[in-house]
Amino acid sequence: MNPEPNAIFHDGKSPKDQAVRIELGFGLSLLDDEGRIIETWPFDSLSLIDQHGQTTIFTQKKRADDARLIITERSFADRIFRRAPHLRVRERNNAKTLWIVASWSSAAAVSLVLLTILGIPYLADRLAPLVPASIEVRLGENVKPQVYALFGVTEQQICRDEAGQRILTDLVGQLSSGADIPFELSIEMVEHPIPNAFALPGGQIVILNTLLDKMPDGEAFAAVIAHEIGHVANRDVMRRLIEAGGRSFILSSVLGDFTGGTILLTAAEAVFNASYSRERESAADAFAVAQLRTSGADPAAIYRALDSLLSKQAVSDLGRLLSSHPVGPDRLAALKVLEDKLSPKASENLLSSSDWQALKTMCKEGREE
Amino acid sequence: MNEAVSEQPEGVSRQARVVFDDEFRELTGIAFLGSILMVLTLGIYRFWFITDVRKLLWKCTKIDDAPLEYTGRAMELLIGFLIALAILTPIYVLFFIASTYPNNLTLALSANLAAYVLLFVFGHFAIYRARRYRLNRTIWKGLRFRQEGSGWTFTGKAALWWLLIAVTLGLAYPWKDAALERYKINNTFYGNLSLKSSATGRRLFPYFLMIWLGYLGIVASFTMLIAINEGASFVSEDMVGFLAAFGMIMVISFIVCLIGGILYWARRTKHFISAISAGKLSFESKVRARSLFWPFVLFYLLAGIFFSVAGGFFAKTANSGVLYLLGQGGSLVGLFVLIGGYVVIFVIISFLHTVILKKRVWSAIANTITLHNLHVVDEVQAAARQDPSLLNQGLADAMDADFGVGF
Repeated sequence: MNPEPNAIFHDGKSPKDQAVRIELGFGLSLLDDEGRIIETWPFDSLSLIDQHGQTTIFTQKKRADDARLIITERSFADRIFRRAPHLRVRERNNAKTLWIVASWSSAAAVSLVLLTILGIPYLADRLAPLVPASIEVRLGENVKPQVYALFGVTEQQICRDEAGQRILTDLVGQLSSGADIPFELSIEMVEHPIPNAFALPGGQIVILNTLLDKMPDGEAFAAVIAHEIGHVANRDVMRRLIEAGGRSFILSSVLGDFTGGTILLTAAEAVFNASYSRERESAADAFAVAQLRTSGADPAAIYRALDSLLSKQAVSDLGRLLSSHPVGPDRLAALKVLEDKLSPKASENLLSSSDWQALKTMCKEGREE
Repeated sequence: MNEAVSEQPEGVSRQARVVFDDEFRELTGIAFLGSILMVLTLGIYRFWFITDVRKLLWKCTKIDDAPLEYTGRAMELLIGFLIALAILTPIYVLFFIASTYPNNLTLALSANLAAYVLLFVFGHFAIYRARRYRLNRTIWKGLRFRQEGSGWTFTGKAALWWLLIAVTLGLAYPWKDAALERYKINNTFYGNLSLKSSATGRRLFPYFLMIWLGYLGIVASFTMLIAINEGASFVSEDMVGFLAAFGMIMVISFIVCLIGGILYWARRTKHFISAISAGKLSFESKVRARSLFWPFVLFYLLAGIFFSVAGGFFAKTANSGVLYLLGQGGSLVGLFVLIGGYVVIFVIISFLHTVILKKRVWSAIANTITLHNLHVVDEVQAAARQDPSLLNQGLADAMDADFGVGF
């Protein structure tokens, strides 16, 4: 009498479908169509591959091949589960693994965020002063073309008016006198619609010409330059460079930026870091105030410069985004206190009004030549 | 059962259609939970997510009533990723130092060039070895697939073909695709059964020519528009006609390019699958361009609708979050809405991408495959077992190479 088959067996040696009859004894006995035992699988050697619908697929632990036993009736599979309780434990373990994976990788994500927000600025603080000035100068020469490319500044947009350049260089000389600056300072005016000024590595200061239209007077403009010299003196540029390098390394390499984690991290970092960069800005402000005072100029000019940048909301959103000096109300308030403390005295005219006018038209002069 | 097969008269072909049995609820669960966990773990969960999706797509795909089985483990992908990280990190640092090395433009440029070459080599090597990993972890009817050949040979072939593509201004591209496909398939085994591919570039060339001509049209009309713009200080009335004409050419070229791209992809899929054989066993694909195209339309449509609705509701609050970030006022609540919105958007996009794009393209391709002379398979024997190194799948991940679910 031939036994009725109740499973399909793939023996791992050939892909043929073998219809088998399974008898439950001390394990699973697999009988062929003539009732002969092909294989016997002890219950504790069973391993569950998959179960869904009526179908359940088993294999055996520690087998050299990939034999599979497919049982097409759920109630029969349930009888096997009752005899091999370790299969259910395995399922629970899988759920536990999911939680272990989820919680530890979340924890790893949190520490990476903390490393980016707190660790890297700390590292940059320690490392920036250790970078030799000569290295930073040469680094600056390489970075400048990249920054110009980013802002879309072409060779023609660099304002090369000799008279104007002399005024700028003199101004920088006066504003940096007596300060401890590891570099020879250089300054350049560039034609650009976004009113801004920034410092590059190695003591290079770049002024975007529309900034001058926003300034109420020459002294306010001088104050902005003094502020940038402050960033140079405090080596903030190198700090930013190290921070950016470290951050992009963590994001692109460790996280693979698979989820666009960059955006999340940048957002989180901006919140936690707001106080940190405010600190750097205030330090540069303080430097500017001190230098303006030594040059015999009105220290409150820096307040006038910031105030006019803030009140004339002509700056585009993009401009604000690119601006390295977000003008926050709190920073302005801090300076306002400063202004009240000082008694604005008659200015010694760091910049004569004719020089100020010359600077304002500097880019046009260069063009006509 | 084997007797039944051998009793079959000669010449009668036993054939089987590949069937994709959609497990909609299970995939939805995996995709939703996985997307949430991925964003919470900043992407670290992706190895588990990819493994879960593959396991499901594999087991829903049935050939001759028997499902495929994916036996890969997330931990293997993670280990491979860590190994790749260990190798790539020093290289990354070296290139960073070289490219910013003070005052040496030659060094910076050659570092950049070397970086591109390395990226090409690693990329192709990783793609080939990742395929080996996936095949080796695929079981059907108790037997494994396998890939032989060498990742270096594959990369070398690819490099030579790309040189030829450069020389022929791109026209050799379909032949490159076919040659690399032949190398992949000819090195593919099921048990001891060796697969063969007769893919040719000639069959694909007409569709590629469409892309090529469309691209040419775009470049030409764009160049002309720029030339006119640079040359004339004002636009006179008869020039308006010119501009409109070139604009039209550009739009038409773009459409030709797009349709050509979809047709090329669909015809390539169809031709490459139909070109597979093993002795008398042969494959046939009837996949149509539109069944591959619709998932994309549906995905972008749904994503677009979702974006505009969410954008309309939250734009104002989110904007105050941006202002807060810039230190220009705004509100902290706005910032949380911004971050929360980002999380929700990522989860939804990743979810739709898996459930709509990935699954539908997969099922459209699978459901149109037929295998002829399947009795050949009954004679197959298992091959000696081998475990490919874990390294290469992780390398593909670290390099962001194709990390899809297909063969």
